[in-house]
Amino acid sequence: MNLFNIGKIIIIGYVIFISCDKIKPVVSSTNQISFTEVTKYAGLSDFRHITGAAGDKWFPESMGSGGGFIDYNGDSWPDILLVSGGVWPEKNKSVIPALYLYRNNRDGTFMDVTASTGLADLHTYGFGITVADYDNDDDQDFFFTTIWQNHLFRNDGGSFVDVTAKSGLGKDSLWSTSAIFFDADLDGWADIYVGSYVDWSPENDIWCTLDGITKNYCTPELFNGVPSRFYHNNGNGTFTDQTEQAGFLPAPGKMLGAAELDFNNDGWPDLAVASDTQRDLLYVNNGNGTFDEIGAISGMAYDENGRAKAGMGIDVGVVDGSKKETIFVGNFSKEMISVFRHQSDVFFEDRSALSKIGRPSLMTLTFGLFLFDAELDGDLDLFTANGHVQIGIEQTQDGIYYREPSHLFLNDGSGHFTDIVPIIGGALSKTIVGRGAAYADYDKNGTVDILVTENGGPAHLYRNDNHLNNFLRINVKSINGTRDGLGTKLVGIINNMSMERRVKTGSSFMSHSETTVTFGLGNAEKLDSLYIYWPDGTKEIFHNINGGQEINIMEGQGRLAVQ
Amino acid sequence: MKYLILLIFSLYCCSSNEKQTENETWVNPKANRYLLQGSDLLKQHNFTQALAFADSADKYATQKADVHFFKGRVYSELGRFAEAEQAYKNTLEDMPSYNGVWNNLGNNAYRQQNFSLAIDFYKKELTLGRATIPLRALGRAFVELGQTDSARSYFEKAIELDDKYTAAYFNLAQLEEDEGNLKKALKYSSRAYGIEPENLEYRYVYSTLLVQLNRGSEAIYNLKEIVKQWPWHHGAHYNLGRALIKTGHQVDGEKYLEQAEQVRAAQAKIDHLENTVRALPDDPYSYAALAFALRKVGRYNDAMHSYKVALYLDQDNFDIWNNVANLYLLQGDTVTALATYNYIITRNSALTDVWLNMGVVYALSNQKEKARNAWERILAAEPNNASAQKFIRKLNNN
Repeated sequence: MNLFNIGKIIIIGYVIFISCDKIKPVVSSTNQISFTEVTKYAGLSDFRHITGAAGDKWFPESMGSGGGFIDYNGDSWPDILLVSGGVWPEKNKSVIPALYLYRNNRDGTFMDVTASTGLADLHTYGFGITVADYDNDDDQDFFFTTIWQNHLFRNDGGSFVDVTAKSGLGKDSLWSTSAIFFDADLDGWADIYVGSYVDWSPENDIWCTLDGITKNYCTPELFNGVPSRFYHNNGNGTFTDQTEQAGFLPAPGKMLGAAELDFNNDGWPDLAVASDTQRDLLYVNNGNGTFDEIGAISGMAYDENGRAKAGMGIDVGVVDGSKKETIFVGNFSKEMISVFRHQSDVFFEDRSALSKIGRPSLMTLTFGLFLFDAELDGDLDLFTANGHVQIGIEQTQDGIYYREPSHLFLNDGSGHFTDIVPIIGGALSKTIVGRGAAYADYDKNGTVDILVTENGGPAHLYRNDNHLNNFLRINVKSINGTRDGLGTKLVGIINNMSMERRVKTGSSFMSHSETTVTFGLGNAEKLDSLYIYWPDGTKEIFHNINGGQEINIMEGQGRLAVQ
Repeated sequence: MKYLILLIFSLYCCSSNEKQTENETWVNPKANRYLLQGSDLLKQHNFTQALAFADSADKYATQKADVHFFKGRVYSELGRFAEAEQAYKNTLEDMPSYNGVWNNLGNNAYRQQNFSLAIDFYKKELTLGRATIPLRALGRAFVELGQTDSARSYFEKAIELDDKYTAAYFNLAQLEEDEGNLKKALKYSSRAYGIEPENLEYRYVYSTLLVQLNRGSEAIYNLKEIVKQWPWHHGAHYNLGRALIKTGHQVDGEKYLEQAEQVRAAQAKIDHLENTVRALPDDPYSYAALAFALRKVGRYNDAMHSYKVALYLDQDNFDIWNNVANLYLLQGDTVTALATYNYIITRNSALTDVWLNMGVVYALSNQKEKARNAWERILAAEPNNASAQKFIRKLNNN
C-alpha cells in the first residue's frame, strides 16, 4: 500500500462526512511503469567510456566512471556531463577528452558542446563528477575526480574555467572516486568531501587471478585504503583542507560513495559513506561543522554478521511512514544491497532483508544507486545500475554475470520493495556493465528519467514513460544557505501523508542527479501543503500548490514562481 | 559384514554434507582394514598416507568401488577436484549404483561454484533413493542460484524424511532470514538449536536472529558463550557488542565491537588467503600461508588441514613439517609433535630450528637429557648458536 492507498481509506471518511474530497487514489500497477532507451535518438550514442585497458588488467580499469546532469547554461533544461575514463600515458598513444558535455536541445535531443564550453582539452584518467554553485554566483560549477589531480571547473556564463590551482583543490594526487558538495558548517558556502580509494599505481600493481593462470582485475582487499579528504570553502573561491580538524581522520579509505542526510533532525548535515570491503561510515555533525564517526555503534557499518561489505553507490531518503531516514548502499554480488533505517538516538536497524531488497539483489553487483519516485505515486523507489568487475566471471561463478540487468525496486509505501524489472522487461532488463547512475527530468514532462554509464561502454538514457500520475517539481534558491539550497528539506503533504525530500549533491556512484525536487502526487491535483526547512533553520509553509508544474521558490520571499 | 558396515559408516560420516549409504559390496578383509586405516588418516588430514593406504587396499580388493570412492573423498578434501572426479567416475564404472558418488560429485561442483552442475549431480543421487543429504544439498545449490522457492521445497522435503534433520532446519532459517521473514527464521533456527544445542553455529544464528528482532537481551548469554569458545568469530563479537549497547551496556558493548574489529581484520586476511588457494590449488606456500593465518586466530584444526594439504603438495618441505609439529604442540599433542620433529630430523638432521623446538618440547615434558642432546646437536654444527646456548644454560641452572 502506498501513501495514496492509505489516503484512500481516509478519503472514504471525507466522502461520507464532507463529500468534497478531490483526491483520488493512485493506480500504481507495474503495467504503467515503462522506460524507453532513447540514447540514440537523444544523440548520445557516440559516447564510449574508455578503460585504457592494454592487457595489464590494471585495477582502475574495472572501476568505470560516472556522469550526470548539469544545467550549465542556466536554461533550466538538464544537460548531460559524462566522464569518458582515460588512457594510460605509457600504454596508449592517443589521448581522449576526459569529459563530454551535451547541451539539452529541449526537444529530447542533445548536442556535444564539449569544445565550445572549454572542456575538450583536459586529458586525464577520470572517475566522478559532482555539481554545485560553489561560488554562489547563480550557476552550476562542477568538481571532477581522477586517479591523479582532481579538477574544479567554474562556470563562467556557460563555459568552464579550470580553477583547480587557484581553489587549492588540486594539491593531492590520489585516486579519488565520488565527491559531495555540502555545507558542513552552514556558513552558506558549499564545502566538499572527496572520496579516496586505494593506494594503487602501476608500480605497485599486484597479479590477481581467478583461475591461477591468467591475470584478472584485483579487488581492493589487496591494497591499502587512502582516507578521504574534506575541504572547507573559504567563500572566496578557495578551499582549505580540514580533513583532520573536521574529524574525518582516521578513516579506512576505499570510499566509493557519500550521501548527505540529517538522521537526528538537528538541522546540521550528516554524512553517510560507502566503503569498498571496509566498514561503511556515518559522520554525525557536532553542530559546528566537525564530525564524529559513529558507523559501528549505529549499526550501519556492517551486515548482520558484522562483515564489511563492498560498499559502492549510496543514497538516503525517507521511504516509509516512519519519517526516519533510510540508507541504501550497493554492494558486491552475493552481498545484499544494504538497507539501514534510523531507529532512535544514534541507532539504525538493518532492513536489508526486511525491505525485500536484500534477496533479489544478492546475485548482482550494484554500483550506481539512487532513490526517486519512478511512478509518481508519492513514495521513493530505488534504481540500481549493476555490472560485475571481473570479465568472464560466468566461467568461475555459476549464476553471476559480467553484464547484468538493472533493478528498479518499487516501494509499496511502507518500505517494502519489489524489483519490477523481471516483470516489465524492456530497457532496464538489458544487460550492461553498469556503473554510474543519475536522474533528472531531461524532457521536462514531470517524470524522472535515468542516465546510466557503463564501464568500457556507452551511456544509456532511459526515458520514463509513466504519464498517469501527477507531479510537482520544485527548485529552491537559498539566501542564507548556499545559493542552490544544499541541505534544504522539503516536506510535501497530501491528505495528512507526508513526502520528505532533500536538496543535495553526491549520492549514487561518482554521479550527479538534478537538485530539483520531484513530488509524485498520484492522481491528486495539488499538494495540500509544502514545508520548507531552510539550512539556516527557518521554515516556510505553502498551501494548495497545483501539480503538473515546475516552480521556483526563493528563501524568505513567501511566494512561488512558476517556470 | 560388521567390518563392512563400520567402514561404510566412516566413509560417509566425515562430513555432514556426505550421504549415508549402504553399499553392500564384498571387499577383501585386508582391503577393508587398509581402508579403515586410511579413513582414520583422512580424519587426521594425513592425505598422502591415506592415499597410500588406499593403494594398498587396491592391491587386495576384489571389488574396487570402495577404494575408488575413498580416493575420491581424499582428493575432494584436498580440493583436487579433477582427481576426485576421476576417482568417483572409476567408482561408478565398477558399481553404477554406488550410493554417495553423485552426491559427492555434487559437493565438489558446489565448492567450485558450479551450482547448476551440482544440482544435476544431486538429482542423479536421488534417483538411487530419496535421502535427506542430497535433498538438503539441492536446496543449498538452489539458494546459491537465487531460486529460493525450489530451495525451500527441497529443504522441506528433507525434513519430511527426517523431522530431526537439523541441517535442513538451519538452512531454512537462513533462507527465511535472507527473505526478511525473521520470525519464521527464528522458528526454524530454534528447532535446529533445540535438537542440537551443542552446535555453536546453530546457537549463533539463533542468537543473531534474536538481536535482529530487538530481543538482544535474550541473546547476550549465548553470544558470550560463543565468543568464549570461538574467539575468532567476528560475527559473535559484533552481535554481542550490538546487543549490549542496545540494552544499555555501552562500555561493554563498545569493548566487544573493538574486539570484533580486530577479529575482522584477521578474518579478512583469511578470506583473501582462501581465495588464493582456490586460484592456486597447486601452490603449497598458499596453503601454508592460509594455515599460518588460521593458526594465528586459534583455528587449529582448520590450520592443520591446510598445512597437511601443503604437505601433500610438497612432501619434502621441512619448514611446513616444522610448522605442523609446532601446531601439534599448540593442540596439546606433545607425543605427535615429538614424533613429527623426529621424523623431520631423520630426513634432514641439519635443521637447527627443529632441534631447537624438539629440545623445548623435551624440556617442557621434563626430559632434560633429551632436551640437552637436542640442543647440543645444534651447537655441534653451530657452536655460537645463541638460542641453544641460552637454553642449555637455563637447563643447567635448573
